[in-house]
Amino acid sequence: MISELERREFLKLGLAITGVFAGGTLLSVVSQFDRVFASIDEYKHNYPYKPHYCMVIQQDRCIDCERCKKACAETNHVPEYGYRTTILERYVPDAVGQKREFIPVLCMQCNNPPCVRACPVKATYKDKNNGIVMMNYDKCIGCKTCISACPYNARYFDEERHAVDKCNFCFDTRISKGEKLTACAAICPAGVRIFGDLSNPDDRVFKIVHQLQVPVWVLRPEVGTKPNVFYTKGLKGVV
Amino acid sequence: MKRELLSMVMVALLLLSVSGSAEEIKNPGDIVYTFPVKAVLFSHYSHVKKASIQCDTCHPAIFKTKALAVESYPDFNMQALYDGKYCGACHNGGYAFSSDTQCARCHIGVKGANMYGEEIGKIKDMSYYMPKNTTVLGEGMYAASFNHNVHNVFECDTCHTSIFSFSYTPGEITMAKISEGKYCGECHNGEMAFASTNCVACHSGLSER
Repeated sequence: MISELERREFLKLGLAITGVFAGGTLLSVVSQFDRVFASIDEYKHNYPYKPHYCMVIQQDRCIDCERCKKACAETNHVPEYGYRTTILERYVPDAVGQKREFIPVLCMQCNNPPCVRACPVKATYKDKNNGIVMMNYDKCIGCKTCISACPYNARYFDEERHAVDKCNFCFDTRISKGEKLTACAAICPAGVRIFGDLSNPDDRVFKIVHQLQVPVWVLRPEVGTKPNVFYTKGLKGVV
Repeated sequence: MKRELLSMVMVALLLLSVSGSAEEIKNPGDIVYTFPVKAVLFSHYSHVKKASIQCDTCHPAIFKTKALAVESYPDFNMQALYDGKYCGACHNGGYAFSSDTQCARCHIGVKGANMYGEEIGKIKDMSYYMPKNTTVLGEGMYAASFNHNVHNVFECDTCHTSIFSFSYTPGEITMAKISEGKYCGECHNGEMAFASTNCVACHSGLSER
């Protein structure tokens, strides 16, 4: 959510604090902090797409029933050997109480997508209107460079189509036909997947991403992809 | 001498490891529910061995003694649990962790269900929780023996709780009632199992105790 410039400013600030204010009061740090962060109001006018489709995943509610996988495969004709969305499992044997958690993953519809940069024939591209990372199956030469470029393992090679396939938030099968939700979000019995428009302040996803009570994060932020799929926990009763 | 000692220790360790793995029963009595969602694990081990809960705390008031019977109830869902039914009778944040927290503690998902494979829908090794030795009911000349291990070819709900409750009240079971076809007499009628007139089969050798 923080632009590259702001990040740099923030890091510079951190250096300034340790260099100049080492041994100073915490108050001075807080007051500096305030100056650096842009306001939410500023953000909402600056989303690059309209609508800016995104998904928030309530990770603590996923129970791996995999109805999303099934609904996705049926809606988008995903073959057995591939997936557009799947559920990862994390096992922590020495955790207190619950020892396992399930993490739904799909294409993160990155604002800075490595797959688009990698494609030699521009078969995959960022949609100018809604920000979805789309596939042009006719252009795809099946070189699979995008598959290895994707840090989220969100792409597979469709043998029948002889092209790479990936999640497009059900744009061709549902959203462009007037449906409000992706197939996976519509079928989820636990309300894990919240699909919406991040550029709309009235949308639940906007409210979730811009609140400060529970943490919201993205996967692998260090690769600089700026994903549009967010993760959260403990949202119940907050938004 | 030192070498002998070392080899003895090695042999002992080897024996220990072998016997350990052979006797290990992994989570006996696990139940995997696949309806209404795939899948939920109920562990008898956690409830009976770790939490020391008696059979009649749940059976048959909250759950029937037949495994998975609850799946056929239309209201077997999370809302019912929040309303205090089924698991929610204890999993309400009071007796045990609330059923609206720690989802994946019970929900093992499709991945968990696949690990159980063909064992889904079958409840195995419940004999692990039964008294290992012969149970003696009654005292003195009235004492009779009952061995769960001899009877464990049957499902729990064959006898519990339509014929026997989980707790024994002294004086409750009499030969008169058995001859009328109640209690042991339900099966021990000379047709399904040996007749109740075969006194020594249950009453043998107990006077020596």
